[in-house]
Amino acid sequence: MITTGMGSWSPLVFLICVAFIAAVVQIIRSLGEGGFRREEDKAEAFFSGGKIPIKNRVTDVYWGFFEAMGRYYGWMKRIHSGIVNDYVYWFVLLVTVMIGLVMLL
Amino acid sequence: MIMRVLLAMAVPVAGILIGLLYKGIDRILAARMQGRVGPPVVQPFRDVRKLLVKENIVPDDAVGWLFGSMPFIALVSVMAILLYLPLGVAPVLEGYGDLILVLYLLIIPSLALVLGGFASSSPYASVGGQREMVKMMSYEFPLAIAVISVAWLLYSSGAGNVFSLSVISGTPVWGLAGIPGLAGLALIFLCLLFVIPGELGRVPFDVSEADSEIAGGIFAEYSGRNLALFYLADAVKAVAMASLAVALFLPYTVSGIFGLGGAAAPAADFLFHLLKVFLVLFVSSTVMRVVTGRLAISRVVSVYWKYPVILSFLGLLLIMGGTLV
Repeated sequence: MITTGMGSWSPLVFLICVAFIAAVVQIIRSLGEGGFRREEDKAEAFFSGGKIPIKNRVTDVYWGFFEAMGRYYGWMKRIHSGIVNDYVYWFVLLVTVMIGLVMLL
Repeated sequence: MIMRVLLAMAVPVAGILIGLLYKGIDRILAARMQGRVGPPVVQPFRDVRKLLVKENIVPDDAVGWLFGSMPFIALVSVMAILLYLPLGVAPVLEGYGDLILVLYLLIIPSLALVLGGFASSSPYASVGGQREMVKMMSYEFPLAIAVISVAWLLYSSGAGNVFSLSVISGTPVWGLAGIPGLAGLALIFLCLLFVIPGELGRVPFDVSEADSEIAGGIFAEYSGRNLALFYLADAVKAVAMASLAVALFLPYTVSGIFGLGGAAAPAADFLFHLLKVFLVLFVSSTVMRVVTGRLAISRVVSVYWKYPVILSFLGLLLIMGGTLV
């Protein structure tokens, strides 16, 4: 059992239950058709009847994360300037906020 | 102990049946509100059966193992949540996990949708995956504030383990707050009701599938049994999300009122819990999707980060103020 003082979690019990649930889900899954009959263009990704202009096999699953959070990552890159003074400013600011929160609570 | 094991086996399966039943009721209620008759209540069961006999197409350019495993992981994780939630009676895995674990588990089905979408090799699914991710970041903030507020109120009233769902469901928060705190709780409950359609991907927050814009988005390439598993995960997640809202804000039971004992007491409390779950889903999902239209993705972020975040912060401040006065 993992306890934090405010919460607890038993990974072993969790894994046992997940194993049982996975077995149930596998039974449901096995009731379905496993594959499909190959026909022309059947396994082409749908693109409103047209061909996808740039075929891009998804090897980098993080692509969408970076794309969607581009502005956030841009901001993060800018504040990681590599200058130690900047990091110290951030540290002081963060500690001040945390002390403020602790005092408030 | 034997009873616990039996319940651990029965509850996840019951979650599927209850989730599909509510989907049927939801469709009838929505239809009646729109002046239609609607499908029979068992239609979602037929939908699943139909999907299971359909071909399971995997696009040539998809990452096969990721594409196929995500629906499986989504359903397993969401079924596991039910074991940690009080369903009118104490959670099946009482003492083996808490509210923080439930919050983490709630993220897994959404992440599975995102990864499944990215693995599809479809531009529509990639856009849907990105939208789902942005939506997740939008609604998690007010959800976290709601949970922290309840935990804070329990902590300040001297409750022991404030993240234990048994403690939370055994201590209705409405009796712990003063008048400002009651106003704060009402605001936070309202915000939580607003988070539920976002979590469940229902109108007006169905931006990640948006049939008329991105042809089903994340589900554009899913078919057959994979789509059936996502469909079931959605049904179970509705029950889990509504059960969480009930545990946090409406954890009342009826067995004491009617003086029930023995096996009748948990049965009555479970049925009463289901009634509350259906009511929460009716307000937050059914009515919401009938009276609103889909928001643009940019609006989803601003809607969640402006109104529910500000309102739930205000609620938290009212609760804190009420306990300090």
